[in-house]
Amino acid sequence: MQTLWQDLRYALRVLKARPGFTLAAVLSLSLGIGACTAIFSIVDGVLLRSLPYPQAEKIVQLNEVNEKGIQIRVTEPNYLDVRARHNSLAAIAQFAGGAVVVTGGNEPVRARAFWVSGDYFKVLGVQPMLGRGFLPEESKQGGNPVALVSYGFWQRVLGGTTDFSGRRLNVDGPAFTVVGVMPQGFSYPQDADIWVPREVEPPQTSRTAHNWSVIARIRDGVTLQQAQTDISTLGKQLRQEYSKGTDAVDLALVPLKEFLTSKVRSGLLLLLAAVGLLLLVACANVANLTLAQATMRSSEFAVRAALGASRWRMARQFISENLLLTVLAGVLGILFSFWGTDLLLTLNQGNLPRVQEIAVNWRALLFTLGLAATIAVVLGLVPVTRFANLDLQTNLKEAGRGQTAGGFSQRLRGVLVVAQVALTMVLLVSAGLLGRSFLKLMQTDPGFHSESAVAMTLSLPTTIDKDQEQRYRQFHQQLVEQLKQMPGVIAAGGINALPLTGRGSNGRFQKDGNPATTGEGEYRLASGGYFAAMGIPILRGRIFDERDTGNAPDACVISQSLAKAYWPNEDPIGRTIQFGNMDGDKDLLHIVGIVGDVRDGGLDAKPSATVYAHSLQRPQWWQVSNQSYVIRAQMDAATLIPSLRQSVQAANSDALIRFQTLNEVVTDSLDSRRFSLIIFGAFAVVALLLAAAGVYGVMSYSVTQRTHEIGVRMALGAQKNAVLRLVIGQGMTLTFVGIAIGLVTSIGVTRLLKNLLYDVSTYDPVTMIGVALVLTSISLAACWIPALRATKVDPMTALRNE
Amino acid sequence: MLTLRKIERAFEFGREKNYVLRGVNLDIEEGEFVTIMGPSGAGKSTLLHILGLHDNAWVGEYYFFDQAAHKLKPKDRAELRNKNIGFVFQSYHLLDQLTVQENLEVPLSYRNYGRAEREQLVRETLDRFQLTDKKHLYPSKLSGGLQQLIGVARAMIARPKLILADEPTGNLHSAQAKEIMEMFCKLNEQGTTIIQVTHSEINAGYSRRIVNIHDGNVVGEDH
Repeated sequence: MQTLWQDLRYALRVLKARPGFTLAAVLSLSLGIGACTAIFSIVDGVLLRSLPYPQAEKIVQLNEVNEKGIQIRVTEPNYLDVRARHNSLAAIAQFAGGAVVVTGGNEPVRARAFWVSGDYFKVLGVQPMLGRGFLPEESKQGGNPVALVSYGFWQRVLGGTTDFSGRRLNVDGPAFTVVGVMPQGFSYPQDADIWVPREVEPPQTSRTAHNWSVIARIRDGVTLQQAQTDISTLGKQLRQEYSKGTDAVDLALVPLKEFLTSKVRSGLLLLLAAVGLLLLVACANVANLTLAQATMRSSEFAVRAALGASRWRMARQFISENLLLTVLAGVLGILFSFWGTDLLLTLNQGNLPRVQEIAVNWRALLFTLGLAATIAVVLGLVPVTRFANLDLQTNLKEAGRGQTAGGFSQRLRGVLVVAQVALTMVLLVSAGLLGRSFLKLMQTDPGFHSESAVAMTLSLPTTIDKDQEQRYRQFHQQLVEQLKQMPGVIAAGGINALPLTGRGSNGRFQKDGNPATTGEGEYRLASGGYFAAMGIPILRGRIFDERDTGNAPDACVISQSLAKAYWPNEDPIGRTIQFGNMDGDKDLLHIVGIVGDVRDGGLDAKPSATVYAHSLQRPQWWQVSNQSYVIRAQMDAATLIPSLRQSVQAANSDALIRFQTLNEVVTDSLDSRRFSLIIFGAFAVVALLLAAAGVYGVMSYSVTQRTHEIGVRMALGAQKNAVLRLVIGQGMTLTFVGIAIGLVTSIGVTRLLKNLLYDVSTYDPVTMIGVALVLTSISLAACWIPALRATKVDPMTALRNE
Repeated sequence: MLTLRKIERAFEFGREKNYVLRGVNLDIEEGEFVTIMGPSGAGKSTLLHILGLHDNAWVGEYYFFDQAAHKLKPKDRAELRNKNIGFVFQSYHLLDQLTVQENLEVPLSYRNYGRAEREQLVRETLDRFQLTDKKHLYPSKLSGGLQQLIGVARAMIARPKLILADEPTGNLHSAQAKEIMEMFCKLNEQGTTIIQVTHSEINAGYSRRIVNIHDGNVVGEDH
């Protein structure tokens, strides 16, 4: 113990005596450890930790499986059949909902409300922390409308009062009495504020309207496999019973954690791999610095060995020094990780699930501790290789003259630089491919003109009062006319869901009113001015106009891809569509025009086959409560925002307004890609700097080591250029070997990025060559300073050292 | 061949100037074998490095044949050196990571010899110094005498008119020293001018002229 303490004290003195080395090593390691801990915290919170519910591994998501083998949400009749017939579940529940305007608090607020069936909280195993849950008589048609609220909503909107008796919330129409508050931290689905019983409304009857998410808890003693078999059998029975009347050919159970994280799993694991590479680059850097220190201290260790120190005793000295280094780096790394995790969550823009569970907690700290200890031992052992064949006599002789570098030590340092360059190449290529994909996406035509237009999304409290609904509708109609009259406005129109926002609905329609010929498409409600405001071209026929009144046959406009898919060799104008599946209105829609395709599902998705019905002819309750307007202006459309806000609020003070320019709509749709790009880019840049520092360090040290050799060469006739070539050649040889290894590794590794790429091959030669050139240039710059120093060697002085 | 007039060389330590050579005048004819002697710190090696055009920080006049070296730019001085001067060092200064053959090739690689010519000269030199069977060995595998022999061969390979040797036998035992000195005599007989710095009276005996230096001044000559 005493010798350990002695080692640590000496180690502290050594580190204090070499502040440059200590600072460089601690900074390199703390960056790597900090980034690793931050990413681990996210991976842990999202992928590794079990869901915060009792026996969470028993909770599953139930999905329908369609003919294409794709898992989709569940229709209510199918859910009810499963609930009645299953043999393997302890509880099953359906839920659906989303953002609505809620009144009844201090002021109207936008909140996320969900309609959940009776066993919802039983499935999750969570009870209210205050008040009570739903009573059986409240979970049936005609029952008293009651609501449970989240802890956050209770604090934020209801002021945290424990007496909420008589507090009624207008949620999507009816007024609900608050009966309980869920525990702090519970918020399922993500960001849910309010839960109300689904059963108060009559059940839906369509077996093709996939409106419901279904969760279930597997009964004790039943395995997932057994439950899956039971549910799958039910799914096949339903298919037999209803044939084409249901889209489901099967039913699937997916563990809830897996279901929630499946979309981000591969992306997060890739980030973890990327940060692992970064840490390796940082460790290689510090190993290099440590080796250089070990070489400089060879005479000291020769003396120690001569005085009787065993190799293990000397290794312990290095391990002690590295332990101190990594402890310092670990502490700094943890500080970086707190900051980094916050930064990552800010950059993430709501794309990650389970964000409320992400934190730098004891698990992350334990991870960091393990990481730091491993690094300390490995880095401590690296210099021991330097003394593997310690030549006491030589080293003692060198004690008064300077340093020697063993061939093995030199080669090891070269290998470390090659590894740094190769790892950096992999990170740079990955970032480069993501960057090229991003640029290509930015250049992709979304199908509308995003310049000089602003989108205004209005949310009004839902009402079940017919008069109020009529007033809302008039408000919307007047508003669109008012917008068109505003100075500088070229066109204005409304739609129920903006492209690229993922808020639209899709489903199956009947072609020409024939139930046997069906098609699939997006369904939108738009006003006549919408197409001009968006800049969507009219390709054939017309768009909605004054002929399309409430008494006229319902008109619709279809997109080019829908026309090509379902009327490939015919003129669709005048043909009909029945899309009652979407809004319950079975009146036929008469096709009056064809417009250009819009990439509704994302810039990286195929153009969406879309049916646009006229918002005046098919007014639905969900349309009037949440409507987007697009206003195209002669000038920068963002300048219209203050006057738009003023006129809307003057007309209706309950309206919640959100503005986005169309350019923002486009760029916001790339948030998750931007997130990956920024992280990979940042890691790649840090790795590049570390690799450059590595090359610089090795070359600088090599020049010091080779001063004598360079002196001899100069004495033998070498001129400045020859010396430059000698040093740069050595550095660039290491770089080129690193680039070659990195290139081969990249080709293997970047295949994992395939799903994140768009219109760029994983072997993209432009990226590969570009990255190789960047690395070459940076390495050249890193070699240049030591090389210049080498040309300043005075042969006379170098030779005098003898 | 060489004419030095009022050569001065000082090293600065802070504000102080420490003169190592103070107004040295010296003439050396082509074909001479000259020894420079003197106590440690007298300025012998400094003078040798000035003669070898390694050092640029001296003042005075230095004529190499008819060329005024003191007026040449560093680059031209290097060219003059590469064309005419070969060096032999006390510690041999062979490059450890190169084989005997590669060590011999180093001076040629700095003198714009083509590959074929380089190979031929290396072959000839290995024959001439009877080193052919050692050409693939690394210096660390050779005795001190052999290493210095290679040092001499390397100095000679580019056919210099002048060889400068700084304590060439300082690290050798007497038998090896004798071999090296006999090699110098042979080279001198073949026309190469040789200037050596040594402490050894025996080695000085191989030369025909001894220049004595003391405190940076030439204090006398023995013939």
